[in-house]
Amino acid sequence: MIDMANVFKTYDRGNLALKDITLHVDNGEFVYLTGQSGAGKSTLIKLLFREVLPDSGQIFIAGRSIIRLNNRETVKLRRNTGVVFQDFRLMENKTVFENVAFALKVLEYPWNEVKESVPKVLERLKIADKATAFPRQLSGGEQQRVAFARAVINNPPIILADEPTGNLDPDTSDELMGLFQEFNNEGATVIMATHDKRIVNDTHKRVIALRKGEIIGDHIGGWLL
Amino acid sequence: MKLTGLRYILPEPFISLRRNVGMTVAAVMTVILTLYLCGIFALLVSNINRNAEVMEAAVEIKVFIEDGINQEQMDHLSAQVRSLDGVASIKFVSRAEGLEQMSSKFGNSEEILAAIDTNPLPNSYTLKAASPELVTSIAEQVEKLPNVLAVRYGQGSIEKMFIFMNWIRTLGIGLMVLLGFSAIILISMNIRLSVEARKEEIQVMKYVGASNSFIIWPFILEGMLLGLLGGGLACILVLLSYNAVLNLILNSLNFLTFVSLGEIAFLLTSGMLLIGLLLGAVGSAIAVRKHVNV
Repeated sequence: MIDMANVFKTYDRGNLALKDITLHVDNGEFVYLTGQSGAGKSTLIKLLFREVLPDSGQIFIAGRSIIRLNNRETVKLRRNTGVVFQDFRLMENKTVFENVAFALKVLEYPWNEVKESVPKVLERLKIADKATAFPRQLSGGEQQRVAFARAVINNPPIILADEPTGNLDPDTSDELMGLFQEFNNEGATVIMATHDKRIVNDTHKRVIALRKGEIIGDHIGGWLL
Repeated sequence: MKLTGLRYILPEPFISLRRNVGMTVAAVMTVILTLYLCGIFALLVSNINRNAEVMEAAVEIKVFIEDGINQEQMDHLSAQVRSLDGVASIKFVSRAEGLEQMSSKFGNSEEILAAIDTNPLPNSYTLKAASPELVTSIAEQVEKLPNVLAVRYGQGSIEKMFIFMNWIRTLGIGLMVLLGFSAIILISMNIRLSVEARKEEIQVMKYVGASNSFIIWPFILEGMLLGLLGGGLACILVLLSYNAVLNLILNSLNFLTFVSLGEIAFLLTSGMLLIGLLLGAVGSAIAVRKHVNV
């Protein structure tokens, strides 16, 4: 499903973010990317939805290289990838309903379907009563649920998450992790960057550990940070 | 883009303008202020132009004819003058009419007529030029014709007036261009700022998979709405101010000619709305494109 081969990424001023990354993620896998701040987790996530491009190497998703895509193809890639960020990245001037509906509107879903689907996903994520609220009126946990709803509303085959629990308390984090698990059980491939020890140390899933841009471990099961 | 996409895009600018009240007010105020200044200045320039035209149109060439020429020679001279390039009209003024005109110009005609025994004026033609720049050349050509005693058109002072008028016009147009240019910069900068303030929103739209046109068009429409709103309000203010000024000075400055409100209203309104619309659209497009193509 996702393949990276000899990927290097250096930012301005020569900061090496990723060094010779080669990995394969199967369809429907749930993978944690761990490592200290600056290890390259976020860069790896960004590469997968083309927020940044590698200096060299190849990245394939569903057998297709995503290095050289035109605008239209990039848009298509992003529509098939739900992304959840640590800082939620909601549109501040749009209500919860509008934020989530936006992901369907860009796909030009008929309004009838938008009107049906959005309340359903808000209901499932237990934020239906916040539909008319603006992001600033919500708690961190609620905002992350909205961001999650937006990421999954069109059932993307891949869900990427960059420190999604970074700003949440333990209980709220657990609830959110439950949601990721639910969608993973339904078939979505989940790749999550995190340095939340509580989550990673107890997991029985695949954990890829990074340090200074390099993969230093790729195991099933917890990885002590 | 499909109709569904259009349906989603069209209401966006209205919602956004309502929700970003602060930015909307700031941008509209900038448009109002700059276009108001442009509008007032345009009125000033068109009034200066109008007065220049009136003054230039009033310039006449007096062609005095030698005494003692017969009707045939007179007709021949008239035909020669008429055939010159740029002569718009020619009118024969007899010596008696000439004296009448002169005396009425100087006040009580009875007194002047009584003061002179005989009429010293010769017969003459009064010419009007098709355009003011031709006055001097027509006069020079007429002067060379036979049986012409003298040609008078305010030599010296007319040329100075034309130079002055041209200078005023050039200055007016120059200032107009300068003001227009500052308006373009100010308005597009302001609209760009309001787009800039929402660059994160644009980023989010991209991550969700919005196509460029899905992101760009609501911003362009929003810019057009801002421009239209500002242009419309500025136009109303300009017309109200002009009306007030006309009412105030029309009686006291009756030696000047003013462009009437009716004459200028359509041109001014359409011009200001169009400028507002264009500036809004272009300003937004430039600003939003910068963030879309990352």
